Amino acid sequence: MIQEIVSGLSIGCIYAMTGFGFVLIYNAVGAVNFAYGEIVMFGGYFGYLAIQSFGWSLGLAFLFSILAMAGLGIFNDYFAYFPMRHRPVVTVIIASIGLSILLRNSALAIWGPDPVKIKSFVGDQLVHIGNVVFPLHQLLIFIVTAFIFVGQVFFFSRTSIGRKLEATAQDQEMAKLMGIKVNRMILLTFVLAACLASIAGFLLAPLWFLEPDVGLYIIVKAFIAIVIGGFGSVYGLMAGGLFLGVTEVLVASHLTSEYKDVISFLILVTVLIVLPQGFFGEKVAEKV
Amino acid sequence: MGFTKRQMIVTLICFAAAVVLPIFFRGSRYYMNLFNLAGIFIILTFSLNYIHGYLGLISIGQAGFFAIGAYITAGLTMGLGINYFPALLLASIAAALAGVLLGLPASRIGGHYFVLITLAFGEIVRLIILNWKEVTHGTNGVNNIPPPRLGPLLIESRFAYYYLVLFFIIVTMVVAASVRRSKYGRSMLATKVGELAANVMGINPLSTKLINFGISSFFAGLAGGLYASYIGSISPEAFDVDLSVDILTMTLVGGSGTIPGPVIGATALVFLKEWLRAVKEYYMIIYGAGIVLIMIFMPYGIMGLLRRVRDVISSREVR
Repeated sequence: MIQEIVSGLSIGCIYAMTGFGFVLIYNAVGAVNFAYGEIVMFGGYFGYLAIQSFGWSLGLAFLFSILAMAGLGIFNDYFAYFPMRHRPVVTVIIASIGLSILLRNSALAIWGPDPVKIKSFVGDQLVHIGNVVFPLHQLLIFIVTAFIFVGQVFFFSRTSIGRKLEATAQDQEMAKLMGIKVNRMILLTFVLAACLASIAGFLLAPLWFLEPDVGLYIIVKAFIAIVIGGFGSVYGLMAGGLFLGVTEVLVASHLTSEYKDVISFLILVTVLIVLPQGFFGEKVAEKV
Repeated sequence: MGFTKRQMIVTLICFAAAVVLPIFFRGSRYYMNLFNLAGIFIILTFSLNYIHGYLGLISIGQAGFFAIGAYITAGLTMGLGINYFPALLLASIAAALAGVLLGLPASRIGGHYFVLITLAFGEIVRLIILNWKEVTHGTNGVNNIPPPRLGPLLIESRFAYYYLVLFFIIVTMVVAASVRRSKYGRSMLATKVGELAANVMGINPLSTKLINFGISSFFAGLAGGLYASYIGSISPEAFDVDLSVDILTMTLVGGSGTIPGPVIGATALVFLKEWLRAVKEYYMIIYGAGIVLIMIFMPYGIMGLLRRVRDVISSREVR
């Protein structure tokens, strides 16, 4: 039981991390980015590419993935956001759906439909605490997630660039008047989110396999985490992710494994009906 | 606002062309198949045209209603032995009820929340079909669905099926045009432009949206029923998110909120996807990039482009 909860929490951390990158972009441009799941997936695949095709070590592959993902973030901005920045939000949302199809099928064409795996930075070691046994990788996930979530508080409140990003997210017009180069900040947000996706991808790949459909799966789960927590609330997102991860594992092992995803979706629908602002969120239901 | 004389003539010519068209392709099973698929997709695209074109909402769950229509039609004709046409009607009504039911919570939310709830709906339907093996046979699907029978007439050949689909397309278009002109259609457009303002003017947003969702999912279900008996076998993978995205793309490419838009969009994309099949695994990549490019260069679809060309020409004439 405790083992199940630990593994649920570790999956939940990945949902929360994916959700965080997604919310970064959402806050900056005001539109949901349906391609973000595929971007996380590419974070993992770039690592796989460096290890498998270039024969690089895991650390080098990680660096390569971060750089390549920065490029993908720039591509995302210039291709699927920047040309449409003055158009209705709907246009940007649909463009992101197009980008997600593009990325998913590029992965299919490059790496094929078979699932692949990358090794964890900590190998396959197991941790024994009392009579609970779990992989060391799950502990790594907790540490990295905690680091990112604490780090972002510092980044957005203490550093100059973080504050500029925050200002852009809050009010683009006002930020522009304060002399902030808004377009550059948005570009930076896309890059930042893509690099974050690289980390999420590297943590995800040893846990599940990488396959072209994994992006769709992870983005849907991140959505549910975000909706449970409430759009805009980082703590809510964390709680939502962990709640979803644990619920999924417990439902799968004690109730039904076939209908586990149906139950996740029902949670989403229920929260949208009963509490559209989520458990922690500000009231943003009117925001389109 | 009635039809202008020119619109009438163009409409009549198009219908005449649609009636005559298959006579030239009668020998080609390949082209007849494409025409029929395009026809079914036209009806399906009209279903999203209500939600996106008249209410301005994005749904990526239309595949769910399509699946409901397909499976219920198959179930009623095969399991209960009901004649195809009443079964088709019942299945469409069932889909419409599902639409209204989903609309009850969904009409209270807008923007990205609406996208998410429809996504969740489509996936729930697909997962239930996948896992409820006693009824839907899971991944094996339902096979040997009988062709429609109209009295002594068995509509089996692709040629005959074409006219069945054409009949339903005309029904769909007549309904779409009349809804657009009715009080309800104007209420929908008012709600799309400004929900608060519409509300102040005495329009009930809830009932307006529910009527819209009901009609929309009715036609998605109808398309599903036609698809099931045309293809003859259905399985859950045909009804995934990709299908819903296809429908959205067709709506946008044609020009959302117009009557010719869905016809143009669905036909264009069915043929485009078929021709892109030659480049195998790359075709979905091109397809994805195409969606983004359409959003960049013609956000109002082919109809929007035509309108712009017309405006340019007419402004020259004035000068």
